[in-house]
Amino acid sequence: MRKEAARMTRAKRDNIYGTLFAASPIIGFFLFGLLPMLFSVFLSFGKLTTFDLGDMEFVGFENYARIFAEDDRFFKSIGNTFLYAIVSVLLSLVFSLFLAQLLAQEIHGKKVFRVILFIPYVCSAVAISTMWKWLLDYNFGVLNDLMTAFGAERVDWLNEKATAMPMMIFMSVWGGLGYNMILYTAALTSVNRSYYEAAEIDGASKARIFMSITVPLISPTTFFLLIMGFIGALQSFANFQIMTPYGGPDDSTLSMVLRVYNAAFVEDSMTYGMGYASALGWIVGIIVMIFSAINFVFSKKWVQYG
Amino acid sequence: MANAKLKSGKVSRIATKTVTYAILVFACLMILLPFTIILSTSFKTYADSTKVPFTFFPGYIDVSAYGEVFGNIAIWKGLLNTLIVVGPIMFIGVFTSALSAYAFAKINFKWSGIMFTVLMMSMMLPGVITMTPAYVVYDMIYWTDTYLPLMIPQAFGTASCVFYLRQYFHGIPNDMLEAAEIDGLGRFGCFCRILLPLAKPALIAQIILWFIAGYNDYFGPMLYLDTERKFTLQLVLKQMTGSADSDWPKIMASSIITMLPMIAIYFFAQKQFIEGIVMTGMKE
Repeated sequence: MRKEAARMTRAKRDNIYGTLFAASPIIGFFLFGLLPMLFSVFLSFGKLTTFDLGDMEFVGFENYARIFAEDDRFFKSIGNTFLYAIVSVLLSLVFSLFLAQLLAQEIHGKKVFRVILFIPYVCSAVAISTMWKWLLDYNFGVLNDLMTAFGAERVDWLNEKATAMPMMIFMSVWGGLGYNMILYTAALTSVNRSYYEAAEIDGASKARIFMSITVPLISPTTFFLLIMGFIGALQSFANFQIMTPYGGPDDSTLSMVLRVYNAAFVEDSMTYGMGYASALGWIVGIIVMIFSAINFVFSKKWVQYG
Repeated sequence: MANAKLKSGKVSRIATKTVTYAILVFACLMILLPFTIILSTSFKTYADSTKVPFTFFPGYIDVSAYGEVFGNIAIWKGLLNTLIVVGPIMFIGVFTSALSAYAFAKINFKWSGIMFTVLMMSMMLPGVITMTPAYVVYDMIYWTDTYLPLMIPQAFGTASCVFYLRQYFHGIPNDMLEAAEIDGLGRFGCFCRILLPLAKPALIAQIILWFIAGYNDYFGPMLYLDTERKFTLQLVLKQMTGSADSDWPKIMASSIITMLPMIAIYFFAQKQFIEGIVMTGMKE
């Protein structure tokens, strides 16, 4: 009897301690994530030209109606961001898998190669963007030195429609290689050696082994990197804002989040303001959450192999 | 016959190796080249920095840009501000995350499942939705232009940190904790005296990742801070690059100086760093 009672209190105690200990990040999420999110719904139905809630005027769906009726810049930013996300993530995956595969062979200096490839990842967006701005400078940039050395014209890389977005994509691939490569390396080392040995005995070529064994076996990692990279790229802000604060030539490097930010804090608050920006934020947020939901549903499948 | 075949196999192997090395060296050069170019610029005089075409080695080393940067109070103030914003909170945040991870990994409690699901959902919430409403609320409670919006939400712990630590705690045998409990340590005592010391490598990894993220953060400080003397290091750097009469050697020297501490930390803590990334990246 007493033993039973002791167990009961222990279970009860565990409930209290467990809930108490686990609560902190969840309380943080409620206060600083969920509450602002709900508040954002409210804001998106209003016109607010200052930051003072007392000035808000309820306008119903007007903000949303305006976005869909006339905000061409916003729709352009959606197109830009998807182009950026798709191309940069795919290129980054191909290159990083290629490099990870090379590094999986028996070679010297693996560690040195890995360390170097990863350096951009630990550098701040501000420093990296500053660096690229200098390299791409119209007058003094090294890239234009190369162009003139080959007898070509100078290019104003970040101020021309044809080159601005490709440069943003290039910088993103350059900076993201190390991260993807590390996760690919982890995936490659976890592939069971015996598959390779069996295939080699059967006389399969290296290319064949790679395509028929390696690629399928690391597909969970590919899926993870693809979707997480895509979710991250859809929310790109700092690199775009630092390189082209107002969206670049003809808005060709205006990202979705940069558009929301500019509507909220930079552009004329009489035309846009916080209410309008909140409505924009919700549309961007829903686009992003669709991909998060895809990830959530399929994430259970990552573990399958390994 | 057999010997010849063996030999040709060896030759082709050497060829493959050479190509492999060549590609890897080329990739590393592509990564390093931009850094070396700004390094070169940072050691030039202003007049030479704008000379076209670019020369790698101007034949001298001019450290005056570095002298100016190190003599610039704003940079030091920025660094101090960054440390104020990130320093205490990374310890508090990792602690609260660890406590939460401990509950999920080692305590069998009623709401465990649902609470963990909520935490997973929290990672799905895109920051762009909360950007405007959070700003309005912070402005209402006089938090804008203070460090509070950069510190307080972080102090509660983050979902990704909880995931990583929970994973690590799973690997710590239960009997150690049970033995401690029999000795009369309570749940919290177990956590502080047994689990935290055992999980030191994981905690250090998380603190390092947290510090690098906080140090490099641009969005938060840019959004909330207005007064120049409150600027973090990244904002100070951003402001320098934005000025009209660009002193390129000075800008590049500042960029290098702000990047170097992180690269140094990464070099020394590579193992923890990579493990942290692989673990949070892959889950389970």
